[in-house]
Amino acid sequence: MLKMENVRKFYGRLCALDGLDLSIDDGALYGFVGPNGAGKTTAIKIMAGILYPDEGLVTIDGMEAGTDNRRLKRRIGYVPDSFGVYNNLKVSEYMDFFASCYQITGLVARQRIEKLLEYVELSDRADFYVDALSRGMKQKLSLARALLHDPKILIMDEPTSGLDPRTRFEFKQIIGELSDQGKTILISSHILSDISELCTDIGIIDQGRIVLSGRLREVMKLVTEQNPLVITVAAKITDTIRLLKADPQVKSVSIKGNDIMINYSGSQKKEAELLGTLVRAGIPVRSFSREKGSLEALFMQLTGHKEERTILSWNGEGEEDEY
Amino acid sequence: MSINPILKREITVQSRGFGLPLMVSGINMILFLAALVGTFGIITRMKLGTQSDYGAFLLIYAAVAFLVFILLLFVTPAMTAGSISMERSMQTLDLMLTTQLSPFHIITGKLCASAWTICVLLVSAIPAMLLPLLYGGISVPEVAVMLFVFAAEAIVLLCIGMYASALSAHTARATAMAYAFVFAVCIGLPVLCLLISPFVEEGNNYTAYLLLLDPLVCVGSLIARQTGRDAVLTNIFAYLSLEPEGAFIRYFVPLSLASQLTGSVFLVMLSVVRITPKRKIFAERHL
Repeated sequence: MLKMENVRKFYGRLCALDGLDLSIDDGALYGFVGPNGAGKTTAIKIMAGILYPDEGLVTIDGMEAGTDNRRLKRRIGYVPDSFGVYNNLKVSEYMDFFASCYQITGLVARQRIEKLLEYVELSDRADFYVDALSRGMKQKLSLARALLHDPKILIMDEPTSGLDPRTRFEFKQIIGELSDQGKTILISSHILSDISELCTDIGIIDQGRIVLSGRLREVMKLVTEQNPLVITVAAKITDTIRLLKADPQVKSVSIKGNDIMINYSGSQKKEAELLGTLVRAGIPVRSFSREKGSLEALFMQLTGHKEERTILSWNGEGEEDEY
Repeated sequence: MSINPILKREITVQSRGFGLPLMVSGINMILFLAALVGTFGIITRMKLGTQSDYGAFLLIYAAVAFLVFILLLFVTPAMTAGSISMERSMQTLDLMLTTQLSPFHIITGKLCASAWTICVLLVSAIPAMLLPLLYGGISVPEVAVMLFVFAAEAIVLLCIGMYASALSAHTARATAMAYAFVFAVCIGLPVLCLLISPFVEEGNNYTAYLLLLDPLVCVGSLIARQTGRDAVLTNIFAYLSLEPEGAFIRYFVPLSLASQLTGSVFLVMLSVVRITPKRKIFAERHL
């Protein structure tokens, strides 16, 4: 388990992390999301042991970071946001160098390097200079390097940014496989669709603090529950609105084409009852569901930006079909 | 015993490029040119004159040795000045710090790699330095001592470059800092002693002992002694208003090397501390 408690980090007078609390369970695939300058890379560098916090506690499997560095380093694989590659080395030499840095040498190193290059589909490029590799290949090489010592925890800073769609897909597949192998993975990314596709857990950081953290499924469920109910009717829209307004759980009503959107505070049971009322009143209901929650909308909301909606108001100047 | 991975990597990269062969060729060309022009000049003078001054060949030895040292002064600090700063700018230093390599291994690996290059340079300079053996006046052990002193001074200069590199994230800035530091030690220290001498009692300018840290004075005094000019060092100290004991003058070179190497170890330790991730001691000032 990786845990950060009340971590603060300053660069001069700039507060990069302001009491960051974060907890990542074993085997989790944790998406670390935040706007530029929120403190993601600083937090990641602290987890990787490259930086030390000015205050607070960082523990990995119960061991405090900084107390037994060599043991901790054996547990962590780090993929930085830049490639971190030596252009004047060949791919195999690059891997061999880092294997020696992890004290993996000889036959064991050779076998491990071959296996990893095969895993990231770079075995045919083993004798190429790193300089000759594409951006995606360099990123795969960086991942292979981070896996050399078979770490339990993999920390990746923006691994898929700037990659073409195919390489991004392949990269995501590899990450998924590594997660299935039981590795704890933390990915920071700006690409929220990647996070929502891949991750089991999510943490949103803003201004050096975690503003939301939890299981991605539960977070998305929570977001969905806060979204409006969308009711599509084939006719009788005025009657529908009259009925809806009579329900005390309905807070507001707005219309967009044939869709009626209501802010509904009732439980799922109450939602079912409302649907029953509409059907019994002879309203031709075509669909009745909550608007799906999106990670983008949640991200914008939590990081201080208002989601722009194009929904027209029921009481205002919105278009209303007459029946 | 396993070889330092950084040393291994640097040697691999070096062996592939044209940098080292070009540097060795360039430096040797300068040395041989100086030695040959000097020899030609002396022989021509002998042919035209009535006397044969074989002692003049010692001047060639002195000139070549001094030239080797000046080249070392220019080449060596730049070798290590980029070592850590470049790793920083490529963000590979961070990667190395996440491995089992300690900051000490990183610094010593880089230092050994540059020292290896200097060794190649010095070994390649031996033939030029041995030219005076043809005419006598200098012995093989004396040349060996000179090479040993050059190697020690090269380590000192490498450590200065390394410290500058650990201090700065930019290679250009680190290189400028390294040269400034070398200039301050080689030229700044004698100037400082000279400036202080009028303000202290005659024979009591103890700041002149700082010259122990000056590579230029160390090598200069060795060259002077090997070419039979023993009084040079005594005269320098007398000029700076200090009359040290005879033993101090006699053992100046080993004493100077010991002081400089001690300082270098200190610089290496500072470099290690500089690249080691650590907690801020005074973090509470932000609260």
